[in-house]
Amino acid sequence: MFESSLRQAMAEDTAHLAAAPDLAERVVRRSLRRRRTRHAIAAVVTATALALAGWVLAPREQRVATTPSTTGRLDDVVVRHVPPGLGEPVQGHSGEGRLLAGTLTWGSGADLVRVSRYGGADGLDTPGLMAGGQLTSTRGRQAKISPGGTDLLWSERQGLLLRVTVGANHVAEVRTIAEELQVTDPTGPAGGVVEGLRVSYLPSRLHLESVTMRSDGETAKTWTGAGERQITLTVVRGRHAASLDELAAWSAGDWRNGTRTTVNGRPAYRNGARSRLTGRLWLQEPGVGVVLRMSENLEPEIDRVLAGIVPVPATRGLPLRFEGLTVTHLPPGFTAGQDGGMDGRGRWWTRAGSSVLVEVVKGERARTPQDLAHVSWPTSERFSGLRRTTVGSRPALVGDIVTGTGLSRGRMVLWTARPGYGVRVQVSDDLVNDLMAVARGIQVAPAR
Amino acid sequence: MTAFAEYVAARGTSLLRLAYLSCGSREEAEDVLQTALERAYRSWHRLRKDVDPEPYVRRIIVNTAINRARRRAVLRFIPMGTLPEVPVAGADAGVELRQVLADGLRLLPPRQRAVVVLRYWEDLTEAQTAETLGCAVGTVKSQTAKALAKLRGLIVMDEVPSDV
Repeated sequence: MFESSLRQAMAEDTAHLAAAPDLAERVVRRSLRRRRTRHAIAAVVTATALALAGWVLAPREQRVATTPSTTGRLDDVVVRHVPPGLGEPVQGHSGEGRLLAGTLTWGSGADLVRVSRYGGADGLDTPGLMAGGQLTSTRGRQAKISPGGTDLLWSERQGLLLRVTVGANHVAEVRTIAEELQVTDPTGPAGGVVEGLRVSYLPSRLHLESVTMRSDGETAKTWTGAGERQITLTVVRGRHAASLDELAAWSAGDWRNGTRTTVNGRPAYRNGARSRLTGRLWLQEPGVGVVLRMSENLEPEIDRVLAGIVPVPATRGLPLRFEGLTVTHLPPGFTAGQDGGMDGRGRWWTRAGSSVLVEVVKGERARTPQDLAHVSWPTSERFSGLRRTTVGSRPALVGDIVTGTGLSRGRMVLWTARPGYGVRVQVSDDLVNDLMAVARGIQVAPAR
Repeated sequence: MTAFAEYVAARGTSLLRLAYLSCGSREEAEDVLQTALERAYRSWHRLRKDVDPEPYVRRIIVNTAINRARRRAVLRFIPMGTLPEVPVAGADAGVELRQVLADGLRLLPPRQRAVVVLRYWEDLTEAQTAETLGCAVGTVKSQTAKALAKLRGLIVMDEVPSDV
């Protein structure tokens, strides 16, 4: 049990890592460089002197190419690869067609690198977006690329368009930047959570594509990537999962010709040869069945993926409904909410010094996010570093809560679900990384 | 594509993960991996085509990470043998427990960390682990026991009844 937790800890801790695509090339280059160094020390001394002189005399634009760039984050999009020498990114917004995008920009002109995030977008055919683009693919998704190859736009998943725009100097990098983007899953690292099961390991460069729920108690989460790589994890609740054989009979796939095996100690089926996908099917517990399907090219990873599928202890008291909203996600360990709030009605959750507040503010104080930002703080606290973001495609503001002496007390995000109905979510300092996941887990019922 | 490039393309991410677990930081891991692959590349022509290069590369990665960590520890006088106090996870809070274990792994002395990674991440036997690290099987056993005891210590504390 302990060893199993240790393995899972290591799987979770390394799930975000991926080797650079040009690793072998860099190794060979560095090795050849060193070999030459060993064989001609005198020549290198001279060369070094010349190189130093060249560096001093070189224009600044050439010199900065050896300095690193700072990668960045745009809401839920993490930019993990940027060409070197571009420095710090700048956050901004840009409008095209009917859509407003959040942007993260490095450099300018021929050195430009910009990542844009369009929330609430319909798809690649959204009017006004890259009208002259040619169809292509990236990250296993359909995409459009501009004729010069400087602009790549794709539908990451329903309602989310992403775009990478580069200047002439970085055309060769546009696909690498796109491939290395990571869109965080609000339910957790790696594959997040599906119906009470945490997927703590995913092969690299697989990206969440969809979560579908069907009325017959089936929830499926699918990740896809370049090279037709795909994983789908389906959780089935109810009578179809009463027993392993009933689940195998009901679930689509060649389970009848499969072989018996085990998954994390539970009896399971390995699918037969007639299936296009590699799969396992097992009962997590009576009434809860699980089916994992993977494309054949991911078969070497299946044992590691299976070992990383672990049940999540349920947070008691969720989902919680009050004042027209539903709280569906909290960090683990919180149990019961208490009434609270500053300008409206809310719920507080506390756990050994950590706290979460979800508050609904109605009326005049909630016409816009800017109105909502006027919080009736305790006199010793204030909002600092307010910046724009989005929650479920609604414009939102996020900022740090600081005391009069400048100490951080936590972070708050706020947005208006509609004029006159505002939501504020506040977390203590140790939970700032969980703030947006709590916010995105809040569902607001439509106005009657 | 050369055999070396093919191997790195296929195994690069797994090797990066091994390097990361062995040294505990991404920047350090990338540097360790590149250094280790460079050494492997220089000897690649001597490896037999029918032999899996992985144990050889793995050995270089782990030993490079240990050597660097030791050098750094001496330079900085970090008391690596003692675990600092860290928040304790509840027994049912699996996610927090694993976070505590991941953090605890980083705080282990380099050789103990390497033994844990090879035994429980790479699933090597005690004999294979000893061969990789160039030490006796008995050393692997004792280092494993000490490392696990330290990691268990991080979570066993939670079972002590509270005074409150």
